[in-house]
Amino acid sequence: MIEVKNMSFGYPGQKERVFKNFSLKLEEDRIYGLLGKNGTGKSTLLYLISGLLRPDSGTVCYDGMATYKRQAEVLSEIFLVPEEFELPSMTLERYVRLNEPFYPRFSREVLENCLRDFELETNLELGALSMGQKKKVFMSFALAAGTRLLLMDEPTNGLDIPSKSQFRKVVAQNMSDDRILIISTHQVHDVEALLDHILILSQREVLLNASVTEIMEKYVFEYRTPDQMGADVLYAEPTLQGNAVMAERQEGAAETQVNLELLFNAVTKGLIK
Amino acid sequence: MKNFDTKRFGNVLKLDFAEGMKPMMWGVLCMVLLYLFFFWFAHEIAFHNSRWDYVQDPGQLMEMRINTICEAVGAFGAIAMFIFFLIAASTLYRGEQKKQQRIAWLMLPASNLEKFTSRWIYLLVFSIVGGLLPFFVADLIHMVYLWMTGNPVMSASGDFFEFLPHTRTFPGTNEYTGENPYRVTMEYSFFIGLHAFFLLGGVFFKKFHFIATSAVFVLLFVGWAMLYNALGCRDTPATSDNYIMHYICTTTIFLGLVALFTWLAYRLFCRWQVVTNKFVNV
Repeated sequence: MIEVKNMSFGYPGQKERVFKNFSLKLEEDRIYGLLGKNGTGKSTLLYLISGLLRPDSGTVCYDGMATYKRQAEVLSEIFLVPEEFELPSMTLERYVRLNEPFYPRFSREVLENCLRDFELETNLELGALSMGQKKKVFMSFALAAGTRLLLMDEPTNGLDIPSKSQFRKVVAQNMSDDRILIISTHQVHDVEALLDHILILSQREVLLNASVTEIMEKYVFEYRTPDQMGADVLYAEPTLQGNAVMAERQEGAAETQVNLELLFNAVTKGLIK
Repeated sequence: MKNFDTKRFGNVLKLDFAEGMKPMMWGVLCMVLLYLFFFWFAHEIAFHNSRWDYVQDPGQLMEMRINTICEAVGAFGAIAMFIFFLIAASTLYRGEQKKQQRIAWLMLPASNLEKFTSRWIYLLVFSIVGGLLPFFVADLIHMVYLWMTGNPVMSASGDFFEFLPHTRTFPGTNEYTGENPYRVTMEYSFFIGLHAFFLLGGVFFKKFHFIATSAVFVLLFVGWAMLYNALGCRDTPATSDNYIMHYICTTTIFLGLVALFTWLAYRLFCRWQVVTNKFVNV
């Protein structure tokens, strides 16, 4: 479990703090979607959770251990897939051979399955891959590492359209009960179907921290014609198919798929708390 | 929870050497070219110098020229190797300048101590292999050249090693101020201290490691010299016992500085973050 308690953090040389007295709890067996406008601290939060940044005050703990200390045992349970990364110029086989000993639950089988799902070979030369291919290889390695906490920063950036659905498939197949996956993204449509918990950040606070089930129980997301716009509508946006509407769910009404974009806009405009 | 696991440390070391092989090869190549340049330059000077014009015997003349070439290259080679040693120390974390590389290194599941020690060992091997091996290669190439051109074949390696320990007796020195084991130990501890200082600079500075560390060193040295003079410490001890005591004390101070700089470098590395100031890693 990840526990962020009364954390404050600001970058050196910047007056404004990114987080002030920020608290959050993340449980196992969930895929968290970390959403927020640019500059709200999504990547910073991932860095703080993984111990790459040190909070000015407060604590960030993984199973009770402060992550900033970067203890080997804690690091072997955390894998971060940053938005931009570099892979060394060597074969995948060599890369795996050099890195797998650091992850006690590393599975070559999972790696091969993920690569197959991404339509990639296993005998790859990492230096010769495109950015999208590198991302697929790195995400496959991340899933194969078997860490209990997996952090992904904009994982679908740079992936082509078929790869985005492959990504969803690969992630869904490799989630286990003891795992926490946090996906920070702007591409909400790419991960909509995958998430089971939504975190929306604004400057210094969590605007929304709710499971998808809770959201689906409370709200409906649908398209309505202008004459169907009733008092239950919380937020609407005009689209070609009519108005995309987020409304309060009536007793007995069918549950609908969460429209993350609508939800995000409604939350950031302060219409939902 | 183990801060140092030998098996894990071995894996970090393997990774460091695997990823650092390319820079090592580049370092070796650059040093070979530099030493070859020294040989070429020394040839140019020696063969266009009129100081040996009085020598009538062409064989003897050639021998004197080549001997001088070897001596000169040995001396410059030793200086170059020393500078390379410091440059290598200051580039301990040059590979982690970019955020992406820093993330990969810091997220590697090993303790800070394992990562630091592994990189330190890699660096030591890199600076020794990158400084020494190229000299032998360049010397060998030079000897092959001499043999092919029908000149007396001489090696510069002897001169190179003679200059390295800095045990020569210079004019105006006696057995205490010149060649003696206490003085040599002091000089070596100074070099190791300097190496540790550049290591600290390599961890502290984010960019221009060698230049920035050298600048700080010069400033500190000037400051220290001024203080030394101001405190009236310039008067050198007159007796042999005083000399020996002086060397032992200075050696102890230098070794203390080695421990201090290395510890500071390690502590600084432990506090490294992925996003830092533009020029320094704090």
